[in-house]
Amino acid sequence: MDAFDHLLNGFSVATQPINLAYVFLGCLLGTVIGVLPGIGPAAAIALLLPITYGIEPTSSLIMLCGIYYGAMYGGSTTSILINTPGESSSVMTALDGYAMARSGRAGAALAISAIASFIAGTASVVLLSLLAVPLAGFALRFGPAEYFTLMLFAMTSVAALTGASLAKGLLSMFLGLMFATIGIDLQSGQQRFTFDMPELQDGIGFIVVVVGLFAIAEVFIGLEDLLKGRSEIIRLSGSLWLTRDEWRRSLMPIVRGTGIGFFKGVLPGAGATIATILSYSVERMLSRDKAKFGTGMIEGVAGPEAANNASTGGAMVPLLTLGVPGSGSTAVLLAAFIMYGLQPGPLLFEKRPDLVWGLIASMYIGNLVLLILNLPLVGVFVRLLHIPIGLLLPMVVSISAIGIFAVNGNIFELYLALGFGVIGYVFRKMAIPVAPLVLSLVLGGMMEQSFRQAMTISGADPGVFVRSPICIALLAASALALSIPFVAPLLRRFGRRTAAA
Amino acid sequence: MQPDSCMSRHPMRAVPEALRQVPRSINRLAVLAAGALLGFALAAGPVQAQPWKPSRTVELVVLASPGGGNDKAARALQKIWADNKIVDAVVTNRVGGGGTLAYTYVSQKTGDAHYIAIAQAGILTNQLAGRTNLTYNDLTVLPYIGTEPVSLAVRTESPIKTLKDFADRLRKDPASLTISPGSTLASTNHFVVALLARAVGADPRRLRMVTFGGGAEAATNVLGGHIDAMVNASNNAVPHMQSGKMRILGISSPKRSASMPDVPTFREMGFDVIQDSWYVFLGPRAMTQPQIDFWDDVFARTMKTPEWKKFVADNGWEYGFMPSRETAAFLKKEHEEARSIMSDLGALKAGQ
Repeated sequence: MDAFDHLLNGFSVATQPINLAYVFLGCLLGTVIGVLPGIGPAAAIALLLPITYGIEPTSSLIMLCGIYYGAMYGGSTTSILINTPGESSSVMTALDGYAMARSGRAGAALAISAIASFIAGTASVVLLSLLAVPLAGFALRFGPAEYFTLMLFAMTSVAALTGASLAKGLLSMFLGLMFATIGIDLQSGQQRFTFDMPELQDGIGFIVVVVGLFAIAEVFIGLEDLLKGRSEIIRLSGSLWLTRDEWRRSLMPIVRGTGIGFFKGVLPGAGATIATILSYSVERMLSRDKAKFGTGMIEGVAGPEAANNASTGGAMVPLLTLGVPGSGSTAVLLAAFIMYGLQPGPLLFEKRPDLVWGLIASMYIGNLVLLILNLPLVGVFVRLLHIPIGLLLPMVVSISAIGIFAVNGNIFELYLALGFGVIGYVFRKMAIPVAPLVLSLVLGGMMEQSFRQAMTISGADPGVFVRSPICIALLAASALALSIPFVAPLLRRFGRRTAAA
Repeated sequence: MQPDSCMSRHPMRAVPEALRQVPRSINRLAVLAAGALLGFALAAGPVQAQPWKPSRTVELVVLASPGGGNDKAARALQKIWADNKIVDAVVTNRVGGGGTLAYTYVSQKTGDAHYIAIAQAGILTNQLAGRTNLTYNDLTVLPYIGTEPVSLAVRTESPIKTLKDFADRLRKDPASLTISPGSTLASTNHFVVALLARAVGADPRRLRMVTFGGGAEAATNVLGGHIDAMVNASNNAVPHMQSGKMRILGISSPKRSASMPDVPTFREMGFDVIQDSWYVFLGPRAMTQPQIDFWDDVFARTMKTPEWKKFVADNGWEYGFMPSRETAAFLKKEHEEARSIMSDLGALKAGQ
C-alpha cells in the first residue's frame, strides 16, 4: 500500500465520531493554551497525560497532538493584540502584528495568521504524509557542526533586525548573548554567573524573558500612559477582513514560511522559534520596503505564522519515524506514546498503521477545526481592545504570572520576569529593539554548545565546520546574508553606470 | 507563596518559621508524654508512639518540569495513591539548580511529613561538585523505590562490537572515543564510563565526554554517527535496539534486566562496574519515627500494586524496594562511591 491508501484508511479512523470529538477537544484546549502566556503545549500535555490514561490510545494521541499544533494557532492572538507573545515561537509575530493592530488592522492581522496557520498546517501534514519515510534519515545528518552553522545563519538574520541604529541593535543582541551564558555550562559542568544562587543554575528561562520584555514592559508603558492621561485607545479601521492588497502580499510569504517551517521542524531542536526567525528575515530580505518591517507589514505576520505552524508537521517526522523528539513538546508526546506501550519508529508504521495514519489524518481535520474555531474568534478577540486599560493591564499581569509560576513553581522567576519588564520598559523608552535580545538568548546558548560539542568531537580541529556539504552550504548562506547589505548597493550603482555608458 | 524557599537568602524570614516550630514540638512532646503516661497506666508492655497519618493533602515535590524525568514516576505514584485511596497527594514541580530548589524546599518543612520529594543521584553529586551546601543529611531519608538500568550503546554500523572492544579502545587511548552521558557531567551515567576506564587502568579524566540537551539528543547523535557511544538510562537505547539501529554493549546493573534479557551486564563481561540510576524519596529534616513508619508502609503497599508493576515494566525500570533505614545506609555508601569517582574525574570541589 502506498501513502495514499494508508491515508484513506487513516481517515476512516479519524472520522469516527469519538475521534472527531477528541480532535475538537484537543484543538480547543490548544487554542486556549496558546493564548495564555507562559504555559506552553509541553506543560499542558504533561499535565493532561494522567487524565487520558483510560482513553483508547488513538483517540488520546489525536487529542494530545491537537493541543500541540492548536497552541501554535493561539499563540499569535495575544502577540498581535497586546504585544504579549504566548510562546517563544510567536515573538516574531508580535513585531509587525502589534504594529498592525496599532494602526487599526488588528482584524486583518488575526485573520491572516489564522489563514496562514491553516494553509501551512495543512501543507505540512501533506508533506508529512508524503515525505515522512524518505525524510527520516535527514534529521540524523545534523550533528553539532551542522547545528552550529545553522545557528550562525540564524544569527545573521538576527543582526538584520537591529533596526534604525546599529549600535542599539548590537547592544540588545549582545545582552541576549550574555544572558545566554548564565547557568551551569553543559560541557564543563561549571557554574557561570550564577552568584551562588541555585535558581540561576539552570539558566534564564526563555519564556520568562519573553513575558518580561513584552508583556510586563507593555503594562508599564500602558500604566505610564494611563497616569499621564494620554492613554490611546486602539481603534479598528476598515473591515476585520483582509483587503485585496493584503491578500496579494501575504500569499508568497505563506508559501515560503511553510517550506522553512516544515524543514526546520524536521530537524530536532528549537524548531518553531528558529523557523519564525528565518521566515521573518527572508521576507525582510526579499521585500522592497525593508525599512518598513516592524511598522505593520503583513508579510512579517503571514510568514512567521505559517512557519511556526508548518514546523509542527515537520516535527512529527523524526518523532514518528525515528522515535526522536525535537522539542520539549514532542518529547512529552513521545512520553505519551510510551505510556501506551507504543514505540514510535519504523516499526510503528508497520505494526500500527491504523494509529499512525489515523493520527496523521486527524491533523488534516484538526487544521480545519482550528480554522473554523479561530476565524469567528477574530471578531471576539478584537473586542479585547475595547477592555478599559485599567482592567486589561492587571489581567495581563495576573495571566502572565500564573503562566510562569504554573510551569516550574519557582517564585524567583516571577521576580526575574519583573526585572526583564523593567529592562523592556527602559529599552522602549530609549528606542532599543528587544527582539534581538530575545532571539540571541535562544540562539546563543545553542550556538555555543554546538560549537563546543563539535570542537570536542573533532579534537579541537576547526576543520569540522567545513567537512560536510550541509555545513558549507550554511556557511555560504551566512556569508551571503551578511554581505548583501554592502554588496547590493554596489551592484546597483555598477548596473546604473553600465546602463548609462 | 512559598517564602521558605527563599530562606537561605533571607535569614530574617527563617525566624518566624523556626518560632512556628516551637509550639508544634511542644505539642508533640505533650502527645508523647500522654502516650507514655497511658502506657504506664495500662502497664501494657513497651511504650509505643502513636502512629502518624497525614491530616491534609500531601505535597509530592518533583525537581523536573511537567513531563520530564522523574515527574512521570511522581504522577504515576500520585494516581496509584488516589485510585487505591492510599494517600491524598498533589504533585508540584519545583525546577532549578539540578534539584537543589526542590530538595531545599522540602528540607525546610522541618518535621512536617506532608512534604516529600523524589530524588536521584543529584542529591549527592550537586554537593560534591560544590553547587550547593545541601546534603542528604539535611533531609530525612525515606524508601528506595527502584532503579533504571544504565546502558552503553553504539550504533549498529559501529566497528565496536562488544563491551570488550570498547574497553580495549579506552585502555589504548581514553580520548579515542566520543561518549555522551546525556546532559550532565559527573552524573551516574558519566560514572559508568569512569568506572570502566578505571577498571582497565585508563585515566578517567582523559575521557572525551560530550553533553547534549538530554538523552534523546544524545541518541540522535549516536544514530547519525556524530559521536561513538552514549551511556544513559536504557529507555533511550532500547527502542533503537529493537528497530535494529543501535547495539547495547552492556548494562551496569548487578543482574540482567527483564526488559532486555539478551543484553549482558558489565560484570558478566568481566568488568566490575555496578552503577544504577536509582530513585529514592526524601522528607524534611527531623521527621519522627511514626512519620517515617507511615511512609515506609505507604511505599511498601504501593510497590505491591499491579499498577506500579505495570509502570516498572512499561518504563524499563528495575523493581526494587528498601525501607527508610536500609535506604539511609545505601545512600551513605553511594555518597562515598560518588566522592571517590568524582575525585578521579577531577570533578570534586576542594574540601568536599
